[in-house]
Amino acid sequence: MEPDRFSWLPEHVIDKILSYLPIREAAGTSVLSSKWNNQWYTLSRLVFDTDCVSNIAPSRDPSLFNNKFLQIVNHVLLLHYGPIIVFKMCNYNDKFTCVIPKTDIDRWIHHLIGRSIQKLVLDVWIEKDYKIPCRLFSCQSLRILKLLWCWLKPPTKFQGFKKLKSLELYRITISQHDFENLISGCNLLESLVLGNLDGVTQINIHAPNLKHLDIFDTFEDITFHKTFQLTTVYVNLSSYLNSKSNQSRLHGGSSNLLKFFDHRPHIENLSVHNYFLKYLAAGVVPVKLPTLCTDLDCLSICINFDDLKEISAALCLLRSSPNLQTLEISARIDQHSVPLTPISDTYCWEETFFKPETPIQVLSVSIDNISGLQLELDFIRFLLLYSPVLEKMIVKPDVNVRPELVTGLIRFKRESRDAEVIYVQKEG
Amino acid sequence: MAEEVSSQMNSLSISETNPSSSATISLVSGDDIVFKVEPTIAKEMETVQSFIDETDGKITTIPLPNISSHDLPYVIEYCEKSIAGKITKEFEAEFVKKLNNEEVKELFLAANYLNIKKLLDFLSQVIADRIANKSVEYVRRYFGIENDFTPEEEAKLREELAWTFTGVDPDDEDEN
Repeated sequence: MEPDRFSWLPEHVIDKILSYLPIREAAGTSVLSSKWNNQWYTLSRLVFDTDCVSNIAPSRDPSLFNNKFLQIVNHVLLLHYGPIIVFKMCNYNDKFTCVIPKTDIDRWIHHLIGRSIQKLVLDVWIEKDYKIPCRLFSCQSLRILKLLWCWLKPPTKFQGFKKLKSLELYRITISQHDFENLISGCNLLESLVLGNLDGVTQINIHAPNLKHLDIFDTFEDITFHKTFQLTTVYVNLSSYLNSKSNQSRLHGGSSNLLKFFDHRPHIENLSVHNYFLKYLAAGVVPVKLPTLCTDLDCLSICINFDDLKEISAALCLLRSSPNLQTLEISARIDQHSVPLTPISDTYCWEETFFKPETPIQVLSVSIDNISGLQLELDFIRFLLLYSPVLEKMIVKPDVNVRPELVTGLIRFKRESRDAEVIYVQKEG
Repeated sequence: MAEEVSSQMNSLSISETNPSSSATISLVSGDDIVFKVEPTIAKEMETVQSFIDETDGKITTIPLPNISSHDLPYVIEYCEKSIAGKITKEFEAEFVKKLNNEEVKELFLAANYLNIKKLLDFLSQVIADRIANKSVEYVRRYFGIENDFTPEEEAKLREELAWTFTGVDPDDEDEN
């Protein structure tokens, strides 16, 4: 056997190898030799998931499965010393959830504080309204935080995580006031993901360094303060609340579209999903934004083609994005709206789809889920007529597509000589 | 006119004697093979950089007794790619495909010695992948670890850590 040069490497070098192993196998290295026996005690990255107990079939004995999971976490944390840079925990898989008593998870979180933790991911289902221990809010070493399924109640003196760069909150209960305090207190925040928050109806974001924003939620309103660095925005509004505050605000002739884009000129990538276009279309829809989105490169947009206001809002975005290269459109069927077919007498193609001041520079367009309605065809006609450099348009219709769609696609004038129209039939 | 020419010549001769500006660095492997590389490579190799700094850039021939002429070209290739900003998943997959277990270990030790952070991280992942799901015996053979536990001690340890020893792959033939 060749001389063993690995065993004598410094701990932090061995730690690099161990940190790429699942924790079960990292711990297993203690049997290699006396030199390796306690190498893993200083692992700086701890990941606990149901793979730790993959040898026990949960269906046969759920309590054994639970106990083992708790035992393993306790075993590792008891032996561990030194900094814990990364701590991730997930207590469920697609078949089973390990039951973790509240007292255990509380103790584990306490254990992490003061260990220089930088990345904390708690993807754990504990119990309804599980409240994260207050002490977590004193943990100022955090750079990345991801929390699911819990209740956040920061202490009144909490002033934010000063080093936090990335925050993800899913299915979290938090009050409106605490939410706003949390976001505005994290000055360095660059990436924010919010999914189904309970207790927050107004998404008010004050984050001077925020670059990436990703929201899928139901909210009444979204407002930004000093958020000028945004480059990637994904908003999926899961349902449209026709609340009193929304209605009253809009009587004053204000425009959600103008409000949303005000002072946000650096957006490069924008996704408007589900009902968010309906929100943006509320109030006055301008023909064009006062400040053009010159950086916008990729736009993905979900449109209800029964709603002329949504179509106008989408056209406003197209007219305001002189450098757009990629456009993705998907048709949304709105359960509650009254179909516009047959279209009202006052509608006239030229009035809605008039020629833009500058040609649309889009290279690639994809259109999904359309069924051949008049307004869908009108929209496609507009795109083909005013996009001189279009290279490719991919049309993926709904299963119940009308024959008018194909007829239209063949007939419409194409401004770009190189435009290729690809029709992809879904399998029924 | 004559003065101008001579001042130009002066500046030329200065730049020639200034070792930090344009001279290449010679890395000398353990088996005395010289590899000439651009000085920018020191940005990736922190050990080389500190060697240059300590001698104020006067010495540009750097002996690397721990690294053989077989392994050094791989290290240089990776560093050059890294400086060019061309480390991709595809490149790494191709890079590692060429290496057997022994070479991976040697390069890991070389990366550690030269303090090349990216390469060390990448090779840590590679080694972890190669020992994942393997038996204790396999991992001992892989690293060349001598088992200094008595059978009783080992049995006791295995019992304490029973949760770690399940579902290992059957040992395959050593690749070396």
